[in-house]
Amino acid sequence: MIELPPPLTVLPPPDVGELFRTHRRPMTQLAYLLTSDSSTADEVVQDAFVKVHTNWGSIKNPVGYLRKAVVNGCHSHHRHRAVVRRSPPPRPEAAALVADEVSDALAKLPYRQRAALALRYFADLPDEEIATALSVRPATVRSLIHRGLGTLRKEIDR
Amino acid sequence: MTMPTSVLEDRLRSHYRAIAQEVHLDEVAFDDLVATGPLLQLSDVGAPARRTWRVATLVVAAAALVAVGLVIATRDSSSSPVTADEPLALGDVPLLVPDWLPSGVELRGASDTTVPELALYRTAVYAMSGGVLTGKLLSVTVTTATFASWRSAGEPTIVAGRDAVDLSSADVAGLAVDNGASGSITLAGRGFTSSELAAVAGRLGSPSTDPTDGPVFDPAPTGLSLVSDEVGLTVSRATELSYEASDLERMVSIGVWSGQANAFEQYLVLAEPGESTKVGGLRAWRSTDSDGVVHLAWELAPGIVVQISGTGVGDSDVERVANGLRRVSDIDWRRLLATVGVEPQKGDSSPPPTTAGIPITAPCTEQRSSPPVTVVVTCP
Repeated sequence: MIELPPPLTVLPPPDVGELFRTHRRPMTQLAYLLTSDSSTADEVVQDAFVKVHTNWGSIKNPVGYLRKAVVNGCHSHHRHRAVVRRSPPPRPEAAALVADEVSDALAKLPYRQRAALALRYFADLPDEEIATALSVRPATVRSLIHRGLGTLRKEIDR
Repeated sequence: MTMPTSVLEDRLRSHYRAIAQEVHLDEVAFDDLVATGPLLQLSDVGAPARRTWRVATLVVAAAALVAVGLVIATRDSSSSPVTADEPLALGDVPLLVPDWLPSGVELRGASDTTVPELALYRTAVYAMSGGVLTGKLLSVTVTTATFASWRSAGEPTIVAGRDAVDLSSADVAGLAVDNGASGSITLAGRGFTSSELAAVAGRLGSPSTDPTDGPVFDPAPTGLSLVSDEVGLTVSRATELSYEASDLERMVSIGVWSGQANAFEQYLVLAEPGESTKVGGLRAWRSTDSDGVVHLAWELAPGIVVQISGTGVGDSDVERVANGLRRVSDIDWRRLLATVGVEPQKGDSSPPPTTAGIPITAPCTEQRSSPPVTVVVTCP
């Protein structure tokens, strides 16, 4: 039987704790919008904070880095679902009550379009910050939002 | 009348606000999480030892597959990919690590899960005369999973007078159909619309999980022919290594799983559009998904599929990773997993229903803890 080494527990620098207090909720909300699953959102955000903590010394923009980690984490979740499950994403609980058709229409968009719309209309971010979070050019952000809105409009108008 | 953009934007904002209100968080301090773990404990390489969703998805992926006639993968050389030339024990997968990786990426997560035998599946795959790599592909899975277990996985519908659930995504049409006391039938079609798949499903009788009872379709759907019809018990083992750059711009994952002998055909049904290629002389499929992630998958041996996925890296990098894989011993593998705080797990799970051998986990619930990773998938 191989004895596995115990994990090394490291306390975070104080600023990570502050970032956690101020950004955990909005980041979890963003992750929830992108994954439609509260436990996955919670896990993605926790992973993102661990990444921030791990790389704290080299991060110039912790919030931007954190946001990118969340978007990437949700992307990975989305991609795995696509490969492994191919099932329609579960509808968030509130969507069923508030805006069925918007929720249904959003579920049909490719991930990057959904992420761009959430970052614009939920997080109220400018093109440049959305571009950083999605690792694309600002022009691509505008294209993603334009195409996403176009598809949404078609779906809702049906 | 077309909805004005400003109205659509307002609806989106309202929608997002309403959804965001659903998020309820326990009050907890970051320090407390780290101190009391395991949620944010850090491994000895300073990386998160949490990739439980990957474990979970691989658990359920493996649960739908069975190992039949497996052969072992041995290291050929560092300049050519691992090849398959020796028998493996049932449910084994070759333990593969990369000899080469894009610069700057480091091991950040891993999983290794074995799932016990639990249920019977039969998966028949139909393809056009040109073969399985191009054109329409249809996979039909007869499973002992009850139809009731599908009800929450999609929209209810009726197919030829039988209860059904529409499981279609943007890329693949999918259906689950009631098979009475025998359980349920799932269909997944590449190149099919939902209505076309429903028309095909309408021709289904009540196939059993035993191929000797007759073909799923007789005759085969128009333009298609049967290319494989496999039966097996659930299994098996799945591994994944995840490498990431510290700035998160580049990621590479290496996944290996064993399943039924036609696992690669099942993979192709669900794969992104792409092109056929070769890896080490073995048939392979290269695709790029809508998010720009490059996937290269190949059939290492009957029932063993390897997939390299690359984010922020080029096709050539993914190919180089694929061509630089080598097999390691169980001891070396455990040492590697230990660096990210993971140890091989025996899954204690029941198999979820499947489409095309690939399970849909919506009816299932998961329990998680980490590290070391523990995942329990519970299905009705």
